[in-house]
Amino acid sequence: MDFILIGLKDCHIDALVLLTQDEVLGELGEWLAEDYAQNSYSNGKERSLLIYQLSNELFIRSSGNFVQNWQKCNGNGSQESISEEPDEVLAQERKYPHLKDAIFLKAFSELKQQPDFLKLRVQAKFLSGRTYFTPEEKPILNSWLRDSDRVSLFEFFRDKVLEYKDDTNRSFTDSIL
Amino acid sequence: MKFPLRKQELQKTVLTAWVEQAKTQQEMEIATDEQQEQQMQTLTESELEQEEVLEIHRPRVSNYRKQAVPWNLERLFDEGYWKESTKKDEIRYEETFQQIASLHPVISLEDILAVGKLKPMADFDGRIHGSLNLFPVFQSIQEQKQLFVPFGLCQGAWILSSLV
Repeated sequence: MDFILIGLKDCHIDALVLLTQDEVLGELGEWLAEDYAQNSYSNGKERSLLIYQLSNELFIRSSGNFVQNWQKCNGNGSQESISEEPDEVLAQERKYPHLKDAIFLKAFSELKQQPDFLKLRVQAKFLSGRTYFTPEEKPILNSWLRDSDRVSLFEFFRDKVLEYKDDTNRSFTDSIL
Repeated sequence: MKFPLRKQELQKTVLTAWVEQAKTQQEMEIATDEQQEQQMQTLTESELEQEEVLEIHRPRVSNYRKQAVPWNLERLFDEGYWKESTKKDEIRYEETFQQIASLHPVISLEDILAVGKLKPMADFDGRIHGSLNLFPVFQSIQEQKQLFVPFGLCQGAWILSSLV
């Protein structure tokens, strides 16, 4: 499991789905790329969708409405303020052709910093059998395990998640888990 | 004597035309593939941050026949679609292709763990779901004796699975 589909509403994650590689490289990934290119399906919808790759720690797809929705609920660059100064925005885009990229990076970066996102990413990594967690993730992992049934989760990880992952099983003993 | 020659010429002409057509079609397919590849690369954060194109590997053809649960793409943005997730009671091991295809592809992690009799270990965030295509929860009718549970080994015939 290396990919997750994230459903965002009002800039907060309201659902996360662990996906197969086929779904990411096939139907869902292609469809989101199409939506991003044409903004035809997601336009005006409150929900935004993103696909995140755990191994690269990157967002690899986003729906066409992501930036607009993100800006709306973060109070910078709402639809109203854009429409008030369309000439200025157009001039900015002409002057800075990579402006849109910068907006994306900023939004992705802000989302990655959300405690909720970090918590869900930690759990998704745990489920996918990963034993390496970044210094940023370690306190979140500790906190989650402390508040959970640690014995059950340990058994689940050892006996089910790692059941057929021999290499990870070998490195498990030396991991922070 | 003329007829065989004409036939030969005709065959040659037709064959050449067919080859040309095949070539054109092949070129068109390559162009379409390239276009699709470009479309797939529309936005990747890696492109933005590292100016590198994410290497996309086409999925390998599996040795076993796999029935995928289809996504209703046009409903992905609807509020209701995600709430209609498949429940544990809807999972039966003796599913047919048609029955599998009628299921919702999203299932909550709690339910998927319950299906695999792992409910006590469902101490995860309630917002985490899995795609049914990810978990081998169905048993092949032809292989009654084998039982596949979530996080189990994928093998045999048409189990619904992909852990890669």
